[in-house]
Amino acid sequence: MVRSAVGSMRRHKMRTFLMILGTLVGVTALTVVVAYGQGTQNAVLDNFNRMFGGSTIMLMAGGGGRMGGPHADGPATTLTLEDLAAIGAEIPEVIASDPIMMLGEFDVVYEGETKPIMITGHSESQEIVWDRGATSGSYFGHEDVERSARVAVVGERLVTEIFGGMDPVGESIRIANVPFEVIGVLDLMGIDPHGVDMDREIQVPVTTAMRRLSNVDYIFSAKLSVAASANLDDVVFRIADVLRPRHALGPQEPNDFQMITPVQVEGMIESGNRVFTLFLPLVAAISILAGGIVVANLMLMSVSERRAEIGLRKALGAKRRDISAQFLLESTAVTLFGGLLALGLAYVVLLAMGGVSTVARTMGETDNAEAAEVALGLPWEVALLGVAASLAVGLLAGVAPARRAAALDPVETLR
Amino acid sequence: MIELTGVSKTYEKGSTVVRALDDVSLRIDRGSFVAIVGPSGSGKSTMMNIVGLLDRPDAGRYDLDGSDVGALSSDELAEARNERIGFVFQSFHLLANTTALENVELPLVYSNRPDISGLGLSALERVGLEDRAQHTPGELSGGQQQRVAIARALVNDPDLILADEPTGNLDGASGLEILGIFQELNRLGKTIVLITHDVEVAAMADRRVNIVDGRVVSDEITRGD
Ligand SMILES: Nc1ncnc2c1ncn2[C@@H]1O[C@H](COP(=O)(O)OP(=O)(O)OP(=O)(O)O)[C@@H](O)[C@H]1O
Ligand SMILES: [Mg+2]
Repeated sequence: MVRSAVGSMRRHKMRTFLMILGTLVGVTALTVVVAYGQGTQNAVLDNFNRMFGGSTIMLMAGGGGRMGGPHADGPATTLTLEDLAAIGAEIPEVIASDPIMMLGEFDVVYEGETKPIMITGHSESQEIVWDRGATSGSYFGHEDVERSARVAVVGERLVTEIFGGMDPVGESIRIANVPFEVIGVLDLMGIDPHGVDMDREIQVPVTTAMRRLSNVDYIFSAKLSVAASANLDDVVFRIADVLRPRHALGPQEPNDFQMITPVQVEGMIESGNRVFTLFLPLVAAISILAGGIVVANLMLMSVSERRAEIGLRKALGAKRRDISAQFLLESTAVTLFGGLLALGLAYVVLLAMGGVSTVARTMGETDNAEAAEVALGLPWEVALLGVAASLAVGLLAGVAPARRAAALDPVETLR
Repeated sequence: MIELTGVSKTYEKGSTVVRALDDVSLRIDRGSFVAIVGPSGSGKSTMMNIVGLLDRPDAGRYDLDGSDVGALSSDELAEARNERIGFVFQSFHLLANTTALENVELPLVYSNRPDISGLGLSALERVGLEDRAQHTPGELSGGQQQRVAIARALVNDPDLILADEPTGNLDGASGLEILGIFQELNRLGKTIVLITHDVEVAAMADRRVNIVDGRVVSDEITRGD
């Protein structure tokens, strides 16, 4: 039976080829989309977890819609270092807080060469809160923040981009014409969810960023580490209770700050990824369906072309179920073969996509090669899905042709 | 033993009704060699289809080896065809691009026999084509193709061989060769029912049944044993 199915595939090469092609396209689309969607979503979640994960709260200046940082109608100026100090003093569950000044790009000059580089202000707590230290030299300490020291810690990619690959610790640079000493190189971090390459930034003490680089007395945002045992929602309420009187907000006035917890962030990512989890799989399902229709039609063609063979087999003793089994086996064998080819093709496509896809690179794990693997593997459960889909296509597409073949009358077909 | 009793088969073609077989009663004993002759459209193939369990009569009764086959389900009929009947067709009906041996073994695919190894090759030996086992029909002459078809009819060792115009597509010499094989098989005990237009071919049989317009008009012993 199996041998005769294989034999028939050999005899009808063109049709078999087209059926394989039909399955190949559909199953490749399905597996690539699902693997890619899953890979990117996992990577995005990993990335978010690394940045905002665990027990952390992002605190941002400005009420709903108005976030910290330069805005068209001016930055929200409501959040201060003193606010953070008060939160730390009144809520013991807040273990550490890192004030953040995202200053945007400044001209950075090293040995006469100027480059626009992202400058960010942090406190020494950055090391704890973001779990990001220095690979060479050291991160700045409390002292440096206290006295607005002109020290800078540079991202790994800047080592080659600015310093020609040599260890920059001890070198002097000018940021917006202010001289700084490089005291460390930051741990690799990858690209943040907004697409900012965090290995191309320079971090300076937050006070330096405020007073020497932008001359303001407020901060844009802060990341707070909260004790793992604490209830995050409860801490969020208590932070509001600390900040509202400090900002002299009346009972009817809305908060002039915002807080985001990891739970909310994950929800945001998942809804942002609907395109991967819903739309693309739908497209893939449609291409599978199209593949199935192609296979079904080619099988029907095969049945009408092979009427004499079917009649002969019946005359020689084939029962209805022998005939339908033969056609089901043929369609399933062909689509399974196509499906296995599709897995190979999907794997190659996924690998190739890693080289060009910004989305995949956005997912960057701490190191780029590793990042490619995160986004671009073909997980076994996706491969299994591909095999199951090709089997299903073969069986479903084979049913109608098999029934038609089994119903043929040998007397009619042998004439 | 074949026993048809009052068998009729009618086809409706638009408004006209064709009585392909009209109240045919016929008895063919085990081990006999019968030629069915008659003009084109007289109902010979219709009769072969009924005798070969490929079709059922509209009326009448058919007993094969003493039991009424009208009671059998279509699966049981398929099984009976597989085990008890060998078919040889005018146009050979071999699978293209499939070796002679695989063609011969086709009935074994649907057989319940426990041990089928070597049966295909020994059937090919019986028609003298063991050295062509790996040839496809396209690489064989018409006579050789028909011998492959006979080997296929023999592979399950049935008692009854039904042949509808087996020499119709062959030249005289090849036809004679085929008929020689049928005579040999008959001598070894097979029942042979041979349908033909050709009077000379019919003369090879022991008995000649003449059908016209679906009726048996003559039935004569042509060669005494
Ligand atoms: N499926 C069918 N539908 C309608 N009429 C049919 C059908 N099969 C056979 N017939 C008619 O029944 C009659 C007997 O046909 P059959 O094929 O048995 O003749 P035959 O003796 O074998 O002829 P030939 O020598 O040409 O093969 C013919 O008139 C034919 O047209
Ligand atoms: Mg005929």
